Amino acid sequence: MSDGHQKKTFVITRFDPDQDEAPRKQSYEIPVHPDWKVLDALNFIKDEIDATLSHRWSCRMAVCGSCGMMVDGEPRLTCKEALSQYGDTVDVAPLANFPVVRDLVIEADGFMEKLTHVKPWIIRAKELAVEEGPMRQSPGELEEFKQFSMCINCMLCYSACPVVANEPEFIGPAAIALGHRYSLDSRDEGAAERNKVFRGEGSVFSCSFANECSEVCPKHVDPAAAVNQAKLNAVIDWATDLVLPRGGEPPQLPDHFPFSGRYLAYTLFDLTGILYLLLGFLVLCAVWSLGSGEAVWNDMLERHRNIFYLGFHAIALVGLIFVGIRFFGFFPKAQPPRVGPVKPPPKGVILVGLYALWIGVTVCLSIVLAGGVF
Amino acid sequence: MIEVTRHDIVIVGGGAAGLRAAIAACEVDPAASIALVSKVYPMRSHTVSAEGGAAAVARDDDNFEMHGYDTVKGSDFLGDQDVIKYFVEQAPRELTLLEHWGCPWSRNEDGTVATRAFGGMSTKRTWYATDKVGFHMLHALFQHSLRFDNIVRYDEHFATKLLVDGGVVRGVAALDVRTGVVRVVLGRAVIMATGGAGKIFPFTTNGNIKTGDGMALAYRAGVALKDMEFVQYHPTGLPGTGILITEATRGEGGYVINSEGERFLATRDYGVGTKAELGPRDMISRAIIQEIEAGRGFSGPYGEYVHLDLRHLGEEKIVARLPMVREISKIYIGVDPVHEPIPIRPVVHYMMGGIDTDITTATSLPGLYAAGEVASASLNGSNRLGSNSLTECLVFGASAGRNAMAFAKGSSEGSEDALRREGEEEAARIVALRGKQKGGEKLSRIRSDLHQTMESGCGVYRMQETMDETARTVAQLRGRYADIALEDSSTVFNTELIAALEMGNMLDVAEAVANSAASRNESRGAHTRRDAPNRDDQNFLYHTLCHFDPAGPRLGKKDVTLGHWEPEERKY
Ligand SMILES: Cc1cc2nc3c(=O)[nH]c(=O)nc-3n(C[C@H](O)[C@H](O)[C@H](O)COP(=O)(O)OP(=O)(O)OC[C@H]3O[C@@H](n4cnc5c(N)ncnc54)[C@H](O)[C@@H]3O)c2cc1C
Ligand code: SF4
Ligand code: FES
Repeated sequence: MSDGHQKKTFVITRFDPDQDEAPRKQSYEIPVHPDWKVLDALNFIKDEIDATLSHRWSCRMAVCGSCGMMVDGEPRLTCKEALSQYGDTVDVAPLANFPVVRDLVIEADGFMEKLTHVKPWIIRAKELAVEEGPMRQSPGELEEFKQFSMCINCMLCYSACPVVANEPEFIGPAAIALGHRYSLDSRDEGAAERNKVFRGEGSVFSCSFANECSEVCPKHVDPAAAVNQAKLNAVIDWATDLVLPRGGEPPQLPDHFPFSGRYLAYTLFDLTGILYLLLGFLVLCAVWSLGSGEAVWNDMLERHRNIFYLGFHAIALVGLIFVGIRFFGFFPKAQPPRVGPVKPPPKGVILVGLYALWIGVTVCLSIVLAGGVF
Repeated sequence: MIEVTRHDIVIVGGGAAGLRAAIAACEVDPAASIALVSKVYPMRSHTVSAEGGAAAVARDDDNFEMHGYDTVKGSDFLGDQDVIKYFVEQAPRELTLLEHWGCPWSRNEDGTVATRAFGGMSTKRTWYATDKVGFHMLHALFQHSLRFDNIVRYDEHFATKLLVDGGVVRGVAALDVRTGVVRVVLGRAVIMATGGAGKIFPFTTNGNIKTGDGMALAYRAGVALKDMEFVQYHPTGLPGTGILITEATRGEGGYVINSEGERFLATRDYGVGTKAELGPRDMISRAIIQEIEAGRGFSGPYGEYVHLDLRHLGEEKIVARLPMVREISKIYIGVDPVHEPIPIRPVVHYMMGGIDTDITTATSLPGLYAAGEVASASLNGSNRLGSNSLTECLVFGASAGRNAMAFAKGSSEGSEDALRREGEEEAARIVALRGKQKGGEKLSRIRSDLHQTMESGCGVYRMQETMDETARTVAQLRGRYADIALEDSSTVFNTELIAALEMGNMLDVAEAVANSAASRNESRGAHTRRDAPNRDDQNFLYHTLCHFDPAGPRLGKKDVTLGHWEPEERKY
């Protein structure tokens, strides 16, 4: 198989629950062929060096969706990625954000449940009889949903998604894209049912539009677009239900929405938007008074010397800290930032760096503002 | 050590055939409990990789008689004509159902389903969804199946044995890959839908999971394997990986070109007549091999090849109709078909043979049904026409679901004690194999030796001597297989154990292929002998049956059902 021209070292995450307490890393140095994909190297290791290595694969043509893994920290289809794009050492680990069964094999049952949950099948008020023949669908109508039907269920998008990392119940990119795909199909009449699902447990509104899912998707499904279209549909559907009750079940929001359980954090997160609005307004005022001469500026400062303003400032600070923690918490959990060919530093370093930057900027700004205000 | 569960029927296999069977069973009785056992999640089944399309009469200028005649002629008159008639009549119905279930078939401007030309088909009757047909069909079927909560899925469960009590099949033993537990999954009828066995060859379009398990299970349980000598070589595989470039490329107008720039299928006499690139697969594969042997091929790091030229189709058509071909060519061979021809060579693709069934998908073992590529209902005879197979999975999958349900209704459960004991014995066998240290043979060596001998004896062109040699080598490999040593003793997701079980199955299938081939002293369809180049209806117009026997396979014959179309010389 290999002509032995070049060697690469594979650092593979191993874990056998029969023997290991925790995952460990194991290195294999092997000769590689210039045409190989990452998967070929794993198969070489399994056949020739270590038969205990476990990984899933089948089609080796990027269509069955079995072979997703983290390669150098990024979720990838290993049968699709050429080895030549990686350095002398390649790190291979199981897909992030999933429980690990063994070695590079992750537990996919959660995804399968979510998929079933979005009702990915044609729903019609009255089923067609086969004698009626195929339904008509124009090429344009087909185009409406075609892209979202290309999902191979490889789950790379779940690995990349910061929301999934934080909130495992989130229905997630692929399942939402597939549910939405049926809602967009001209042959389907089940959009209302699915909108209910999208508003319920693990709702589409959890998505913070990080767009990571679409960036890693090997089939260009663009699940982020589907999620955001689904959000809009769910809202419109909900609003229409309020205005024009269509009978049947009333629209349902999850029981604990919006102020309890894990929704509280999201609701507060969204509410901080009001703080930014007010802050922005204040800054505008300040800039305007600065430009209108010293008297106006001093007048403005004078007016702000009161308890309400200080209180607002305190709340804004707390809000900012809350948002910062949530926001920065997302990033390194799911994926280190992409910085071209440069290898990202370890996640801990990124996290500390982000916090340092944030605290630094906040302190500086506060000093400046405080100096100006008092 | 084992866990016993009970259902009305058990389906082994979650590809197009297995899923269609499960849905059909639900249609018969929405309250019935249907077990669906699959060694991978259903949507990973190799149906997913089918590209080109599924055949069924759809256009006004087409009819059942024409589809039937094309099929019987393609089969080199070894197809059973009653089966073919049933198939072509059911085909439009099944593809329509798939349409109702959401399959995104490509469309004409007026919104009707579009059809394309395919090899050996006399008119455009192949329904398609760009060039990802298997993928879309499988996902549509799987997603449709999710609505039935009476389908109980056993995902990542590897079936290792049919459980028989009192001469009737009553379930399977299946290894839960994730936990290492052996489950005895009982039902009053069992449907085999485990797909083909391309992996007994080194160079194949088939995925890693196509190891002929279901054929081996049935063979071991005493059911004959039929017409196993007929292995289809697809003319257009990528050198090196064997990844398929679909026949739809030729259906859409692609040319096959030799190193002299000649469209040899049109200019030379290879029996395909004016059909040229749209001739049937067996003929085109032979033509390519002959061109290469005559020194008109190209040579590269992965052997010799010819070119498939799509450039004249233009970027727009390639993007609209063949996006996957473009994607695959770019990723796996570094060629953009819009600008360069694609290197291709014949590659093992499909097993015409399989578990011997009748027109109702029933086997000789009461309670056992089979459908899809694992089965041989004798639709395909000695050469399958492209795009008949996906439809076959639906037509016979549905039939298997209905007939197995009917059988289950009238059948008893069998003795649970006896079945449990059988399951325990099977579990003991698996435990003994897991991490088995005593032995001197390596799994990967046996695999490469099997590959080598199958390619040399059962390739596109065959000879008595090499076929006999291969049959002997496979028998020796069986002995060596008994002496393998394994390294992995873990109970959790032990893929080495799975590979070892699959190897045992592949040896069974290889034995049937080599011995059946060596017994057919004529050339018919995909079975082409240099030492017997003609078809011989006088002596060989029959199906080959291969029965398991510990002392070595026993061969038998079965009549071909004729009656509608007279066998004639196969010329296009
Ligand atoms: C690359 C390629 C392209 C093709 N293109 C076309 C085309 O365009 N048109 C056409 O008509 N045909 C085409 N074919 C042929 C066609 O796709 C197959 O014949 C068909 O999909 C087989 O379906 P199946 O349901 O029988 O088996 P599969 O889809 O292979 O499914 C087998 C199932 O059985 C399960 N299984 C197997 N062994 C076990 C076991 N031991 N225990 C438990 N479960 C098991 C697997 O998990 C899987 O779910 C193509 C084939 C290939 C390889
Ligand atoms: S949306 Fe893309 S990344 Fe996500 S599962 Fe589907 S194919 Fe994979
Ligand atoms: S092996 Fe099928 S997608 Fe990679």
